[in-house]
Amino acid sequence: MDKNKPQRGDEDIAREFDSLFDNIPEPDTTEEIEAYLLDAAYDYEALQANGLHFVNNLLEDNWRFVSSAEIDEAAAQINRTPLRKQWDRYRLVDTIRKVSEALSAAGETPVLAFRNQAELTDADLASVLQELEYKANLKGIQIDID
Amino acid sequence: MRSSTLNQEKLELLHNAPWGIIYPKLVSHAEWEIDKYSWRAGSLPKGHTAESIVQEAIQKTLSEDRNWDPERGELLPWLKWVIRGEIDHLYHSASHPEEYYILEADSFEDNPPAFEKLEYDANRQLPDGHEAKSAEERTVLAETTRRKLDSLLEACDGRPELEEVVEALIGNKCSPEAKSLAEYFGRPVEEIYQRLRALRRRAAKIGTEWTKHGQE
Repeated sequence: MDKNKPQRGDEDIAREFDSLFDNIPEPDTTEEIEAYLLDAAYDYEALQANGLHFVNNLLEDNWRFVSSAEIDEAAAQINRTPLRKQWDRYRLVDTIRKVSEALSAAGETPVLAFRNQAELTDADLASVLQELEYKANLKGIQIDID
Repeated sequence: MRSSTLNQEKLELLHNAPWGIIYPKLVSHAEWEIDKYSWRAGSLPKGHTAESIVQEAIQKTLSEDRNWDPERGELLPWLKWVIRGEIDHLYHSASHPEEYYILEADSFEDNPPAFEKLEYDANRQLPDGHEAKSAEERTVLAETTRRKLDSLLEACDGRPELEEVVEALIGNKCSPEAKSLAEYFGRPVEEIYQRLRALRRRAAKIGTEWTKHGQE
C-alpha cells in the first residue's frame, strides 16, 4: 500500500459510489430495459398491454381527440338541420325551452340552453336551436316544433 | 390559448405512436430517475409510483396541459422530459434536508435541446463552495454516508455478483469506474453496468425503507 496515499474514509467511499452510479448509462436497448424492469419486478409484456390500454382509453374518452374528419362530419350534419332564421325572438326562445325540456327528460344535458339567452342575438338563438334540434334528432327524440 | 381540438398532425402522431413500445421505456426512465434521487435522498416521492408518474405525463400531454410541439422534438424525448420534471418537482417539493444537489431544469419549450442537459452535478454533496461545517450538517452527512454504505452491503445479500463489486470498490482493488471493474473481473463492461444498475436499485430501495421506518 502506498503510505503517502491518503486513507479513504466512509464519506470518500460513499462519494465514489455516487460518482460511479451517476456515470452508469441509462438502460437503452430493449434487452437492457427488459432486464432493468424485470429487476424492478415489472412484467414487460403486461406493461406493454397496460400502456396501450391506458392511452387508448384516454384517446377514446376525450372529445378533444376526435379526428377532424369526424368533427367535419358532425358539422355537416348540424348544417343539414334547418336554421330558423325567419322566426321571431319569442318563437326561438320558446322552442329552445321546449327542446331543452325534451332533452332533459331523455337524460341529455342541453349545455347550449344554459347560455344567457338575453345576451344572444336572434341569429345566435337560431344557431342554438339548430344545435339542440340536431342533438334531439341524433338521440331519436321526437318534438313537435313546426 | 389552447385550441379546441388537437391539430391533425399532432392527433395522428399521438394516435399512431407505438404506445406498447413507448410505455415500458417511459416506466423504465421513471424508475431510473427515481432510483437516482432515492439513492441520494433515501426517500421516494410519496403517493406516487413510476407508472403513475408516466401516466400523468401522458395525460398532461394528451390534454395539452403540457404542450408538446412535434416540430420541436419527438414524442418520446418530450415525455421523458415531462417525467423528469414531475419527479424533480416531487422531490424538491418534499423536504430532503440531507441532500443539496441542484437540478438545472431548463424549459423544453423555451429551449428544446435543454432537456438533454437536465442532469444534476453528480459529485456535489453540497452546493459549490459549501463544506459541511456545522455540527448539524456533519451529522446529516454522516447519517447519509452510513445509510448508503449499509444499504450497499445489504443489497448484496444473496447476490454474489453484486457482493464482489462492492468488495472490490471498498477494498480499493480498482478505480471506481465501470471500465476498471470490467477489467478487474475480466467481464464485459455492459455486464458491469447491469450489475451496478441492480446494485443502486436495491441499495436505494433498502435505504428508503430504513428512512421510512426511521421516520415512523
